[in-house]
Amino acid sequence: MSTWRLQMKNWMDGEKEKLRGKTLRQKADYILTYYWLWILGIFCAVAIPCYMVRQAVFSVKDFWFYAVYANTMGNGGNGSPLWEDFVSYAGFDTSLKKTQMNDSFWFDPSVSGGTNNSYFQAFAALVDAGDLDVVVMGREGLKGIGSSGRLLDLRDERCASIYGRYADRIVFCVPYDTEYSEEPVPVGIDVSDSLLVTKYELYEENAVLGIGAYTKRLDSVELFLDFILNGDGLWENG
Amino acid sequence: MKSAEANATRNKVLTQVVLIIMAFIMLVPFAWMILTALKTNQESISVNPFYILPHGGWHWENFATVWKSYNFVILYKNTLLMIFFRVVCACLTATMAGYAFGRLKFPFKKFLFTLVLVQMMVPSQIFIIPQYLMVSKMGMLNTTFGLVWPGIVTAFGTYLLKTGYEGLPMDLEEAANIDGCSVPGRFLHIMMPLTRSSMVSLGIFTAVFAFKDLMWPMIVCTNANTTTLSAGLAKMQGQYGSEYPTMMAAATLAVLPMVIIYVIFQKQFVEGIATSGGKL
Repeated sequence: MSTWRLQMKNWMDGEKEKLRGKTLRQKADYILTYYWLWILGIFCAVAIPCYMVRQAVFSVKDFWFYAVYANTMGNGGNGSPLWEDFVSYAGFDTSLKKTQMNDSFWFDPSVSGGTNNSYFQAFAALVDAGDLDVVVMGREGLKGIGSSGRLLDLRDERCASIYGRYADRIVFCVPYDTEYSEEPVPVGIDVSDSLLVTKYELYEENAVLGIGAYTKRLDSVELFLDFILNGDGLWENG
Repeated sequence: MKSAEANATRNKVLTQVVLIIMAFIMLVPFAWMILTALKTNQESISVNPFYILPHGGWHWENFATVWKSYNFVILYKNTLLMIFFRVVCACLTATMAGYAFGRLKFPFKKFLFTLVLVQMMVPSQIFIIPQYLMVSKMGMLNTTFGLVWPGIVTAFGTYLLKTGYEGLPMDLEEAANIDGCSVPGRFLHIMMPLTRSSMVSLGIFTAVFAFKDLMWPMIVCTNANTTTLSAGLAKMQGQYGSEYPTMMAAATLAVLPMVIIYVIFQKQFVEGIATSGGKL
């Protein structure tokens, strides 16, 4: 018998000896007093990996589409009429991938100190992680984000079709990084006459849509633009 | 003699008056929040300084409005679950790491502890993107586990507990060692109970920071059923942005758990701040 097994046997025998003659309650008290951390540790060592594997395998992780509506008083979050109409319009199966819309962000990059808050940090994390597809907000605010380089340059060949289709709605900004460009860069699409304003009332005046700099779902973005700019007619026609 | 006594009394009275004034100043925002929650919107935006109290009666229905609009039971549940698991995880991991760094000898100890300290020296925002990606790829978005994830291990807690363990006399552990107690036994039955005050400090700090945390819940929990009070309030800001009484009623409901926790653990809060020298 190996030394380790011998030690374990001796330890088990010793503990059995200590428990002998005790009532059930006394045994439970003894075990909880001397072994509570071990019990907790073993429970965590089993339960946490099981939970993580279950989540990793069975949960819905990927996104069909991720939008942020900043500085809005309206309701455009998950489960809102806008969310439901868009999911239905796009034909997204939400049991396979998620469609995320978030209307809780409050920041204004167009004013000094307007981004010194948790909202902007959370927004920046979503953009930099590559999860954010579009952000909608007021014209000056969006130009501010565009200047910082967090929005896709619409001249990028990946969004050539979007740039072509909505050329008359393009909003430009001057980037802070003059090495990138000293000329105004197209970063936004004016959606002031879209369903976001006319039907869902997320914004009262101007609304401009920007595309996340690291998004990989430009087809979903195009679909969303179709929906908010042309969707009402298509919707009514079935 | 009489003059010295009179001076002492005068100083005492003066100190108490100053403290009362300070306490009053500290309470004004809370009083304003609660009083605004009981006003009409018109009263709340009035610039008349005599409109401190509601004129047209106490509008308790503001609380009913937010309670009905938002499922506060779920917000409370999510927030308390997040606080509970963050406190448990932080205390558990920090006490073990603190003991190892404070009491045990192992290779690269100083280097590894430096790595822990480095974590405290960089802004926490730097970790947000990797943490978000981890949680996202594990499928933990919109779960309690996702909320707890960044708080499972804490560099500050490890440092705090290490200092706590280092402050304990060596004799205790040596005596236990002579009696044949193993390292886990010494940690569990002798050293850990003696660092209770440091653990309480850590628990309080963790609970308060978890309660105040807005950025992380906003990123990982976007569903109404999984979000916390702080992120829920942010959402309400959009819905009730111009309705100050409703907003203040929501804020009053949101601070309730922390007020209750503070009332219950008042002594530990004060001791915790004194032990760690930190501020909440």
